[in-house]
Amino acid sequence: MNIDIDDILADLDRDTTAVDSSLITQGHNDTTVLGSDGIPLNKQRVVPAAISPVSDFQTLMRFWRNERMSPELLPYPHLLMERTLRRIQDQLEHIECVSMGYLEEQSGSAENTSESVGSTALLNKLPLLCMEADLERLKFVVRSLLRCRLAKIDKYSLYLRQFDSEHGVVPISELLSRQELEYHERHSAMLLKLLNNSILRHMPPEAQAVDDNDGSVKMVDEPEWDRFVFVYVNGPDTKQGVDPRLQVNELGQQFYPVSIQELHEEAELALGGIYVMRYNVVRELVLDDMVQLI
Amino acid sequence: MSYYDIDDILADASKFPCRFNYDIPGLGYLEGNAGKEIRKNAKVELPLWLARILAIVGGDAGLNDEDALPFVELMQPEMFSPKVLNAIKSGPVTLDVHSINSHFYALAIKWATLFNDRDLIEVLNYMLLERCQEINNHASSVQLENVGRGGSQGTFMLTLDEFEKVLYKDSHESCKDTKKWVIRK
Repeated sequence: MNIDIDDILADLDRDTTAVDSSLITQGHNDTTVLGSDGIPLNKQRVVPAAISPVSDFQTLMRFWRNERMSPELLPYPHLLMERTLRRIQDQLEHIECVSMGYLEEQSGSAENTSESVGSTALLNKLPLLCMEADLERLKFVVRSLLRCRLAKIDKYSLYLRQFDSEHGVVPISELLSRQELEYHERHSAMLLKLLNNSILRHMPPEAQAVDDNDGSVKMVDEPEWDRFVFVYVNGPDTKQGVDPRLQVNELGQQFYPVSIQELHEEAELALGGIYVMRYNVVRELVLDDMVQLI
Repeated sequence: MSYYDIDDILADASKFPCRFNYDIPGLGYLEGNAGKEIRKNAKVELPLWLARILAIVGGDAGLNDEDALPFVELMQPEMFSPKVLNAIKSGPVTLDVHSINSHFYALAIKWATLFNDRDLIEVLNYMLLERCQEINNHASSVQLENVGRGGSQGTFMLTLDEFEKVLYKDSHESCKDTKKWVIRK
């Protein structure tokens, strides 16, 4: 007779992992990532969607990839970026402190034996190097992400201006960060001034608008909603339980049903699969983090 | 195909043969003799950006009975004649698209949207797929010694139209970069 005790074992496992993870995060706080959030540990355990530096970095990487590949400007992750920027600042100060302490130690102990100083200096150097290289990596991702967003803001500046009016689904303050908003406003103002002064004032009044959509060619560039993108179907977060959109096909595979409007065709996105799809077909799933662009 | 797209603007400037459906005074400069009127049934070569509008907008509905008739009638251009389409069907790879028109695809798309031409689209799809395989072959055969000189790609490269050139250049660049990265970091 087989008694299935998997759930009992899982219960036991969960206890031990909870202890382990708290230990690990504490270790992080002490060594590499200083002052991760200022959140006390017991609160962290209450919120299982753990806000930790590691998970934040993974989210950032995923967002970076999505932003690089998607044809539209994705909503700005306000909270995530706030945390990341604060961590960069903290880590920068931490590195400075460590290197200062390292200098002091060297000068203080120089009177003792010179050989032991050399070995401790070497011991201290490796963590310092790692921290600096790690910080550079993180800063590169953030910079690349912001640059990519600025390029998109340049491209769609006229389209984004329409968002100000009431028919926009997303308010523009949610789509852009405060700095990006300022960049968008001032940059489009400068561009408009240049066009006005150089060419547009010589035109007849009815041809002076830069956002005229009634002419033979539309002047406002919309994102290419039907551009093809590569997607990887990663599925819902395992902790969050069952996703109502997820279905099971005859082979027992879980998949998302999507419908392609123009062809009147249904397609199955199986979990773990890689597909080439039109962006407007998978847009909802991308925004809900069920698939990611690669 | 956006407003500030240079290739789109260049493609729009290519001429199409048109026939006028009305006598219109003052428009003689389209034919080359300014100050005269333009006669009905006169054949004129007009750039597509002008011809497209004139072929849609009709004459004055109040003055004319035949208000449905637009100002001009677009005639079948040489580049979409049955001769060319047959040449595409028989061998897309050996066809010299560049000599037919350097913006062949862009114009064909515009033409097909204007007239809802399903047959043309089918021919184009077939042609693009066939030619893409050849483009891919040429783009992925990278010899690092030849990269600088660029030549020696054969005559096929001379037959690409502007859209295919962009396609070729992009895929060639990515192949080249990948190979460079694999070979020496």
